Amino acid sequence: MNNNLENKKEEIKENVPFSSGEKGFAVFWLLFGGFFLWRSLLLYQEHPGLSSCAALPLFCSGVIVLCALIILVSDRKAKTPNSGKSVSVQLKQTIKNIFPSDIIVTIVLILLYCIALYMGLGFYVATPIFLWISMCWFMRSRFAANGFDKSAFAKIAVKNLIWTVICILFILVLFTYLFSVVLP
Amino acid sequence: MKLKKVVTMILAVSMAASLAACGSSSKETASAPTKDAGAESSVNFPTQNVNGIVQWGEGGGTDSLMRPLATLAQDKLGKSIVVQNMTGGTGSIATQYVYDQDADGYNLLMGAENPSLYDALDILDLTYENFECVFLIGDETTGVAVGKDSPYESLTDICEAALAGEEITLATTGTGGLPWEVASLITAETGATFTQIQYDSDASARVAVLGGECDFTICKVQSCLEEYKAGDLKLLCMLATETVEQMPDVPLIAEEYPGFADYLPWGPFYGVFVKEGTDPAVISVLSDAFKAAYEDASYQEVLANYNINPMGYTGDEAKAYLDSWRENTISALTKAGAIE
Amino acid sequence: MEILSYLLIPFQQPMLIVMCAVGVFAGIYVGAIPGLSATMAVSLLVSFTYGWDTYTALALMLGIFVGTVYGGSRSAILLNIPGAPSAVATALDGYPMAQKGKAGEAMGIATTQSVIGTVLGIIVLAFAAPVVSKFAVNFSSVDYLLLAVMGMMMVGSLNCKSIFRGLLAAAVGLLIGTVGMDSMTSVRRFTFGVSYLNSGVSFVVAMIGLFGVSEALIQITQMDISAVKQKIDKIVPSLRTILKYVPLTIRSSIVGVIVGALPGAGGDIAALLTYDQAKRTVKNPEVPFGEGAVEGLVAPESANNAAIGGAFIPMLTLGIPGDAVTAVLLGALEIHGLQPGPNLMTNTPDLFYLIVACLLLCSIFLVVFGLTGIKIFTKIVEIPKAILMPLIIILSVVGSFALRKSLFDIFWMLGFGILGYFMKKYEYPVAPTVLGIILCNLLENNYRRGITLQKTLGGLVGSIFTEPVALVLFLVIVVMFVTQTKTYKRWKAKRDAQKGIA
Repeated sequence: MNNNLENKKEEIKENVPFSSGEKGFAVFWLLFGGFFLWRSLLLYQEHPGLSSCAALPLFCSGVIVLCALIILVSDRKAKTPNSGKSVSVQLKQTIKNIFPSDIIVTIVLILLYCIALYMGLGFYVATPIFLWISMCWFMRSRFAANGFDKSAFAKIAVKNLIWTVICILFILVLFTYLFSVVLP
Repeated sequence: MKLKKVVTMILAVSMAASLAACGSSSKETASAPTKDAGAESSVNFPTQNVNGIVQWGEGGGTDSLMRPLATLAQDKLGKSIVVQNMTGGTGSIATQYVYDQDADGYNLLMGAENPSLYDALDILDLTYENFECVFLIGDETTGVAVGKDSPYESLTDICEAALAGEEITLATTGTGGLPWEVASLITAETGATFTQIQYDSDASARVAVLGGECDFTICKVQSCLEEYKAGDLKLLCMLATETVEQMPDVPLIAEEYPGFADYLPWGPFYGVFVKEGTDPAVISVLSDAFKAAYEDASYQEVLANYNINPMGYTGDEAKAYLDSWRENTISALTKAGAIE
Repeated sequence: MEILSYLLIPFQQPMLIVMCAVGVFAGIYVGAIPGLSATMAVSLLVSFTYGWDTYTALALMLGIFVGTVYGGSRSAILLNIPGAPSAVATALDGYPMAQKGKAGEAMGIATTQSVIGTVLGIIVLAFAAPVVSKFAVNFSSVDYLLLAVMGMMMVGSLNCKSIFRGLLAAAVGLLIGTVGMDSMTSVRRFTFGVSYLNSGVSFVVAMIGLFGVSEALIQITQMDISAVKQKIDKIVPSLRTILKYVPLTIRSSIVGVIVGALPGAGGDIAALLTYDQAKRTVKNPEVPFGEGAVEGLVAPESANNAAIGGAFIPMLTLGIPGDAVTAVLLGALEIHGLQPGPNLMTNTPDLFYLIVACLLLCSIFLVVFGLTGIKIFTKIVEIPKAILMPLIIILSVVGSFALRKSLFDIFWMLGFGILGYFMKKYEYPVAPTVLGIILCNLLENNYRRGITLQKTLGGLVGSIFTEPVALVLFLVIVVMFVTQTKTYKRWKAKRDAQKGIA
């Protein structure tokens, strides 16, 4: 009986669909591995020998390239939502899959946050802004689903402000006061 | 059940609060002396916490000397000295890191003697010549150590075996580390060379000799004293001009190889440095703080526990010591053929 | 009976008991926050307690040690961010349990088993220290290399689409671990002139990014799936549950103590090894591993806590640290004028047994504080995602900054987060990458030492057969490898089927 269960599990695994862009990701790893393989070879030329500092990097990048190739070859027949479509459609699908609007907004917010910190805006200024904006964005369905609902927005905005303050206080107490960890 | 939980929570919170109170009160007493330090110098330093970067690992020789010193010195400075460890590359990673920061006195390099040799060893283009010495604590005596089951009774035994073609393994901490330095001196005097196996710290190198993986290593007195007393390690000879107090029956290296007398006294040293170009006024504030810490009775006790030969140099005196150490060591290593 | 009097010292100095309690309590929270580590906390305390009485300072530091090792499991279970490398394995099954609403149960079991593990480690320390330390000191470079390989073999036991994905992820991790100035030769590897990279990629930064931020991003794509309601009725495990897992706990603790006693390895490797061991030896878990198996939680948690006792063995019998925290404690003892070394047990036995007593006290406090805070913690998982996710991102930022006060650490952490997001989205396991980064030093340095000693690769392999310890480890690895291959699985299935018939 155990046997059947395990067989079924194997079956299900084989039928798990590949998502758009998955095969492309393996190509990324191939390029990644290839680049480091080249650099490791250069390093090895300067420091030859089994016990040199280039031995492990060479081995690892070799493994990466090998695995990427094996994955590409063994997955080439797999069906993905992208199969048999034109390149532009494939690209669009992949981007929709991997970069839904929430993610894009989050990444942009994170980038802006980093830039703000780098330019010296200070942790206690940049962070509440980041927190509040991202919270509001994530909750947009409650007030922006069918046109901008002013009253709902006001309620959400205030609630988020409170949450933001709680978070900042929590960080303040925990890190700066109790553990004297310096913040950016 | 609930009552117990509530009581526990109250107890816990009050304990944490008392700990925090301890923490803040010690900082309060620390800030009191700022008035004196501030009034003396015209420079407004320090206005925030200072970073102390130790170039070797936590709990090691360098770290154990720096932490108490920093704790005492921060009271005189008025701001905390936050000690962190940045190991690797025979201390070069920490050296490079401090050099990459601004020369404003907020990043201190807490190191041993290795940076003096970086350029000669192609480890880094920086040496202590690119830093200003804030404070030089002291130096140490070292010796040749083997495991208790070792067939070698003296340094002569080891060298003769090496010269006869036997493979003798030496546990080191890397090029430029203490065992490597001494091994080069030995090679210069005797012509014997060894297979060097590198470990992450002098503790690991000691374990290698204790466990039999390597034939011998070079130890500082503080590192091997306990094992010597227990008989787990045998000290074959000391690199010193006088017998070491705690190891009265261990011979001196010059008794077997008189040529060594030219190099001695010699030993690893420990100091606090800042990047060159730091404002001399800032350096003098730091030097005063460390000097006061050094002179504290509790720290002198630490130095005694560790068998450090105390120096306590600052300014020109420190520079003179560093320059002559570097000159002596490099000329010895050159003669040994260890460097060009 | 002098020993008994030493063990009772804390009761004569109640301050010690208070310190243990404070330490454990604070330690749990330090450990739970990613980026704050035990080593960091204890190092800070060494400076902080310089003027204190030795025993008092020691009690506090011991408490923090025990607390942080356990605390790492909290954030691992709740947020999939291991608070410390020893909690990486805990996250693998702990987090899925939280996602199924069983966070309370997970934390409860983690607490009880951690305590049992700690106590077992202490027992070994108290009774068998000299024996174990003799064994530990004789561990050679080849043995460590094999140990590291065993740790890496965990890759094979993770359920991923194909083993090559796991291998690839592991190789990427090892490669990332080599970035920076080589610790043996100071040669700069893959730094491309960026001085920030000279000290290499910090594994804490990579861990927080690859586990934490990436998970936050994944959760963001599943925003409509609301937070799972946590069942908080089953927090304290029943005696029956505890007893059910005791054999596994004992097995894992033994591995934990021994690995902890090895000067070159600590709780993190112990946790990984025992997770793998549990996976292979537990035949029919109620829930498959990787999806919330309790065994996947029990094994690493008891192992990493047992490693605490183990780490003290070489420290107190030889003066050689068993891991990073005991290295700091060693320095602390020396600063206070004590002499850890082979003579410690004969010269100052009171110190030895005081440490044993304090550790036992800390275990008691661990049960108390561990179990009491859980309800509040489980509520954290119930916070609406819209609020929790940005908070996690910010906490990750703070955690990675706390390490070296470097803005670049934050940027790199976020970069790892995005990489991790891609990997998770495309079903590449992230754990082997973190594994590779953690184990890189251990693996590479011992490999290079072995080669230097044996001169050739053949010599290195040959040396395995000349030492009993190496031979045993090697055979274990072979068995681990063989049992993973498809051929073996088919053979076993056939054999089980035949057994069923016969």
